[in-house]
Amino acid sequence: MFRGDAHVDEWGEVAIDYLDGRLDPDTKAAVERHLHSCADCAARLRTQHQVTRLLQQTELDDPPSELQDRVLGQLLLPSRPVARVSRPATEEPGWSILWRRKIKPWIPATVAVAAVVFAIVGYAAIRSNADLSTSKSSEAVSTVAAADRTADTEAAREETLGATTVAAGAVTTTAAATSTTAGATTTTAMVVVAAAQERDMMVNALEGATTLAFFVFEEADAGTGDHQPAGSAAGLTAEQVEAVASQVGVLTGLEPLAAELSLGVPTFAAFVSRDDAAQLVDLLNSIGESAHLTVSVREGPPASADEFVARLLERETELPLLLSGRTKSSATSRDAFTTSTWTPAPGPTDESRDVVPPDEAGTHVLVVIYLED
Amino acid sequence: MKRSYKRILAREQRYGLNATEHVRDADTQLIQRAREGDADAVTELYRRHERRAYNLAFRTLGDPWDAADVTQEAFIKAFRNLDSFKGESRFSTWLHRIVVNAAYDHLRRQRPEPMEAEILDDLSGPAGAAAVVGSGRGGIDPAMDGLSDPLRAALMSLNEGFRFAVVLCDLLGFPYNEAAEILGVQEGTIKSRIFRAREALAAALVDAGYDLPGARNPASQDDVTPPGTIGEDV
Repeated sequence: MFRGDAHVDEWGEVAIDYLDGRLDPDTKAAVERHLHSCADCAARLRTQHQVTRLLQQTELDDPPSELQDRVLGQLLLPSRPVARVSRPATEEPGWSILWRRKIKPWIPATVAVAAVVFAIVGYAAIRSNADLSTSKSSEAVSTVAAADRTADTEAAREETLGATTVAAGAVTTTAAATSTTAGATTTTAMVVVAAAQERDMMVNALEGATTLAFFVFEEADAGTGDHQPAGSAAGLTAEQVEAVASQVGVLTGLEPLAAELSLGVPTFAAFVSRDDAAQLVDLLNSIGESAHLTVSVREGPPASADEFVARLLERETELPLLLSGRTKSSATSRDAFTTSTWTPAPGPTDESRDVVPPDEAGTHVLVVIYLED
Repeated sequence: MKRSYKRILAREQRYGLNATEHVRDADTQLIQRAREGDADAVTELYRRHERRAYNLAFRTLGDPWDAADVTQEAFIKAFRNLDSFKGESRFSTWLHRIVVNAAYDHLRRQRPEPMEAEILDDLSGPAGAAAVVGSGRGGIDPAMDGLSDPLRAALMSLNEGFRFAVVLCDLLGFPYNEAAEILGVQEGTIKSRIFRAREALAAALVDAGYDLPGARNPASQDDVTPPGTIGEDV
């Protein structure tokens, strides 16, 4: 195999064994004879050695600490959210970078088991629109829905669909948790209604709902047996509320609603395209999963939330659009949600403009997410 | 293949994975318990192999998020198909073969990505190998990455077969015979790929400003196989 007169290109395999000290004495001597007479090959073997050392000295990276939770959770508890957590509470959360690009957040175990998040989804009736008859796909419907707006707005919207993030400008005030009474009543109602539902059912419910639909996040244990309405959501600390609210905020790009518009706790609201129903369900599911909560969906608002819904609908023109962008060109791409305002910039001359909220075309749903404390 | 004891020790220290036979037995026992539904055995098996599996995916894909997805996918697949592991090879070999397949699948799904020719252009440009990172795999946070940018770029500039071979052997410390089994090629092919991959890496590193005495610059010497064309085995 080894020919003493050929250059190392011809005997790379032998060179590897030579470098590893695995050649028989005769072959080794022959290789060394060649290297003594051929400076070029000798230099190339030195280079081999250097590159090998460089690679071997390279530190291996630590896997994301959440990887173990995800794998073992999926393996050991396939029917339940990830439940095995061995990371010490003091450890730096590892998901801060990961969630930038993933719809699936890896939320630290310190997020409360008792955390409760509600998403209320309201639909307005599909508006009768002559233009709709010419549209075949929901995408086309969506485009028609934008036709009433200014060209600028439509352009901005197209840009957002391409996963260019546009800051949500309409609803920016940070919510302050003030009242909990209404929320506690709501919790009871939600827990009673909640039941484990499959993802596809939830997506279908969201896509097909005609009036109102609610996403309910509840304790994973609460949905498995008879419903126990009282006290299921108790014990959520301010830090935990903040942590979950922070997940929602970062993952959606939304900011909490102003205090007077919220449910008294951190509350988020946005229009979401029906086309993005699956993405939204996945996002909410993953938040629930990571926080050890189950998610289900139902129609009809909780009694105590009627007034909130009415107030919100009054100001729906101020609410942002939440879009699922999936283009490859963006660094924050792949199922990441981005937000943008859908309304034309409000001005004195625009007051008379017939502003049409996205949901009136039937292409979008109004989603509200809030935290119970 | 006979390996020196010193080398095996170094390998164990480096990878936290004992390569000796009694550990193979331990894997076998864990697999048996895992098949019987022992959650602790599943956890222990996972922990023993997580680091190398993840780094295999990371170094061949070049992206920590993709690597985490691929590693997860591979482990789930492996553990759910434990019954099909017959014990004819090491568990480690079998598992990493699944990781390699998942990584290849990911690369196929990912195309079209920057092609070799574009990467070569970048490598020969004034910005050097750093341009490969910037244009090829945007969004990677270098702070997460133990590899220097030029080395990572150089690795990613290799054709896949060469990259997988050099990552398995030189970066992760797999013996050549095991790497050959993982990649489904002859051991001689692995060695040949390793040799040429190292030369291509050296050339890319020199181009990026590394000081590697003796490394040849492909721009000035025509008889050296450039990095982009080493995809075909001799």
